[in-house]
Amino acid sequence: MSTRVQAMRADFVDFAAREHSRVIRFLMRGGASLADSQDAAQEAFTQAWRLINSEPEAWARVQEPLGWMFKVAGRCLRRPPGESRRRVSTVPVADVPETAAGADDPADLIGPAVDVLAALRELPPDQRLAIRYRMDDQPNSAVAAALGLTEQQAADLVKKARVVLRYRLAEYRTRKGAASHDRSP
Amino acid sequence: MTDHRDDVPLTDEELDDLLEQADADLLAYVRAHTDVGGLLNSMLEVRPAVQPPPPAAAELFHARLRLREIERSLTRADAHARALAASFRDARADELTQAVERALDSARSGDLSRTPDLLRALTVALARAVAVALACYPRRGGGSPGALVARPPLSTLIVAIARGLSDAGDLAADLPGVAEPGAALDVSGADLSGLRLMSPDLLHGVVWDAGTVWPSGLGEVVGSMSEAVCEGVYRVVFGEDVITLGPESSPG
Repeated sequence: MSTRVQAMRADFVDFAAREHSRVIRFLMRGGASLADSQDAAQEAFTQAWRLINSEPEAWARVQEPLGWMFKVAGRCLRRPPGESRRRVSTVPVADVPETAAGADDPADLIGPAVDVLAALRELPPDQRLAIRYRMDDQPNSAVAAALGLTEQQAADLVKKARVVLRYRLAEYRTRKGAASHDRSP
Repeated sequence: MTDHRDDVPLTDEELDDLLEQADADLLAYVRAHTDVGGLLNSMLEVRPAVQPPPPAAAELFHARLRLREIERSLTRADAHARALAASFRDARADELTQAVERALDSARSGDLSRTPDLLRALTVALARAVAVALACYPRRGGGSPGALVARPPLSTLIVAIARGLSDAGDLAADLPGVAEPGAALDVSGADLSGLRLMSPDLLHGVVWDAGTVWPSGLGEVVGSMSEAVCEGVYRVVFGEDVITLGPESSPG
C-alpha cells in the first residue's frame, strides 16, 4: 500500500468518526427515520471506503467529501430494499422520499428539534433539500449541484424556505414563552 | 404582550437561533443512539486492492525480457559459430567462437548490470566475424567476392551478432531509467497490456497472479502454461528446453 493511500485511509477514518452523525442528521432532516438514516449513512461511508481502497485517485478528486456523503447517502436511502447498492452514483439526487418520518424513533427526541423536523417536512421537497444543505453549512454550489440548478436558483430556494420556516416556527416562540411561563413560580 | 405573536414571523436571527438549537439537539440525539464503532469496524475489514508494482518494476521486467531475446539470438549465433569453426579451421574462427560465447555468458547471466560487458563482447565478436569474412575473401579472383561471406553459417552469424549488438545497445541506453534488480520476474498485479513479446516462452519462470494484466490473447496462453505456486499465484512453465533464468531471478 502506498504512503499516499495509507494517509488517505487514515484521513477518512477520522472523517467518518467525526462526520458520521452529521450525515445521519442530514437524512433525518429530510424526514427519514433514525434507523433508515443509520443504514444509509453506513452504506455511503462503506462505498466511499471501497472507493478509496480500489480507486484512490477517484476519491482524491472529490472536493467536498461531506457533500458527497450527503448525496450518496440520500441515494442509498431512496433505493428500494434488496437492490444492489454497490455502485456509487455521482448524479444529482432528488430529495428523500416522504417516509413515515421518525415513526420508529424513540420518543426521547424533544424540544425544538421536533418542531423543526415537523416544519421541514412541510416544505416542498426542493426547498427542504436546499435548506438542509445550508443548515450543514454547505455552499449554495452544493445545493445547486444536488438539484441541478444554478447557484442563484439555489440561493432563491434557500431564501423561500427560510421565509416559510420563519412563519411555521413562529408558533414555537409562543410555545417557548408558555413553557417559560409554566415554569415560573 | 409578546407571548402571542403566532402571526408574526420569526426574525432571521430568531430562526437561526432556533435552527442551531434544534440541530444541536438532533445531533446529540443521533450520537446517543448511534455506534460509530460498528461503522469503523466494518470499514476496516475492507482492505486495499493489490497495488501494481511501481513503474520501475514493470520497466525492469521488460528489460529482462529484452535480455532474454538477445540471449536466444546469441544461442543460435553460438551454434553457428561452432559450426563455422568446425568447417573453417582457422584460429580466427576459434576466436570468433570465444567472443560469441562471452557475449552469450553475459546475456545468460540475466544480470542487467552486465549489459556493458555484453555490448563489448558483441562488438568484439562482430569485429572477429568480419575478420573471418575477410579471410574467406578470395584474394586472386576465382569466384564471387561475396560467395563465402554469404554462405549460411557466416552470413547468419554476422546478422545474429549485428542484431544482438543493436538490441543490446538499445537496452543499455534504456537501463539508466531502470531500478535495481529485485522481483523483476514477479509481475503480480502489474499491467503488462502493452507488452510486445517475440515469443511467449520468454516468460518461462515469471510469477503472476489474477491482478496481472496480459496483452489480448496472451493471458490464455500464459494461463494454460502455468503452475500454481500458492493460492492465487502462478508461475509460467514452458517446458524443459526453454531458456533458464539466471540464479538471482528465481521467484520467491
